Amino acid sequence: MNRAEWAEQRIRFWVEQGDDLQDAQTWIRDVLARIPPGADPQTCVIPADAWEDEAGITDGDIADARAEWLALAPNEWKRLLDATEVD
Amino acid sequence: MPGPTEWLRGYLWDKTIRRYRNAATGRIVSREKVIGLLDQSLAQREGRITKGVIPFVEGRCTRNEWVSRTQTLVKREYLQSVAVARGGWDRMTPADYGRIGQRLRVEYARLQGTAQDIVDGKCSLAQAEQRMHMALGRVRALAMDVERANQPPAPEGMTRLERRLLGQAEHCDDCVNFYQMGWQPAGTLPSPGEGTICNGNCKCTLDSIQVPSSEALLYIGRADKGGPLLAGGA
Repeated sequence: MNRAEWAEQRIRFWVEQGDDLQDAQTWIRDVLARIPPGADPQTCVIPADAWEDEAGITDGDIADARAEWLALAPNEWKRLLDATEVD
Repeated sequence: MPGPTEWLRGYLWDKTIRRYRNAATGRIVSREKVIGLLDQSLAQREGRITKGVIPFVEGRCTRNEWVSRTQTLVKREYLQSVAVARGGWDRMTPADYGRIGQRLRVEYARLQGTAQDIVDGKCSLAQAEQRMHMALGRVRALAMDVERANQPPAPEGMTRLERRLLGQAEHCDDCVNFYQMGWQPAGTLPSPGEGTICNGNCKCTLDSIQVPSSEALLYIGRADKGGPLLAGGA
């Protein structure tokens, strides 16, 4: 199975588990980005230090967290975190 | 049942009192509501994270997938919980993101340890779920600490006091001891989830009041002014 086929199969699996399609793509994209070329994504174990950069917060992480809040927070509270500051 | 316009109503962050207000009504959103929302978000997250532990323990997903998914879900919870405590996304500072990053480094190392333990058969499904529960408890602890640090300074002549309130949980001895200390000057008690043996299981909250400085001693060590004497009060 090549990487594309593996990715498709795994994304389908996570969607079947109830994950959002975009989220499932994120999990798999981040895995494939760390798998050495030619390695089998089903058996290759990514070393812990290869995940270290993930602890940093990027603009993309913030955008994803904002989008997820809007998607999952109860309707009444969806806009809470976009509060405008007043005196 | 609120209508669509209420569902999408906006909020303001009142920087003087450091509280959310409903933009339509001007009413303050209580601390209890905000903490309740935080706990609701954490419970929802725990459900999602736990759902991912099962296929990993059962060998239906790879370690890499589990690590990737869980790290991302934990990171989002840190970001959202601290943003709730801080007053919204626009109040988040580089220091907040730096603090979250520091916590994540530790959490990610723990996660790798859990992944290895699962692979080695040293960690059952129940133990893995408990570890995830503790990880999210540490998110709560940081959010509670941020919310507390975000309190406005007491005005001239006033003193801010805090007391520990026990949440819906089995309480550890440390939390009970802090509860029994009653009102204390702000900063005396640790934030819930910090410095207690219950660690990530803590469901306590901190209550906060401002009293005239001349009357502060009347509160110290009591559940409330005029209330039952707890521990160490005069």
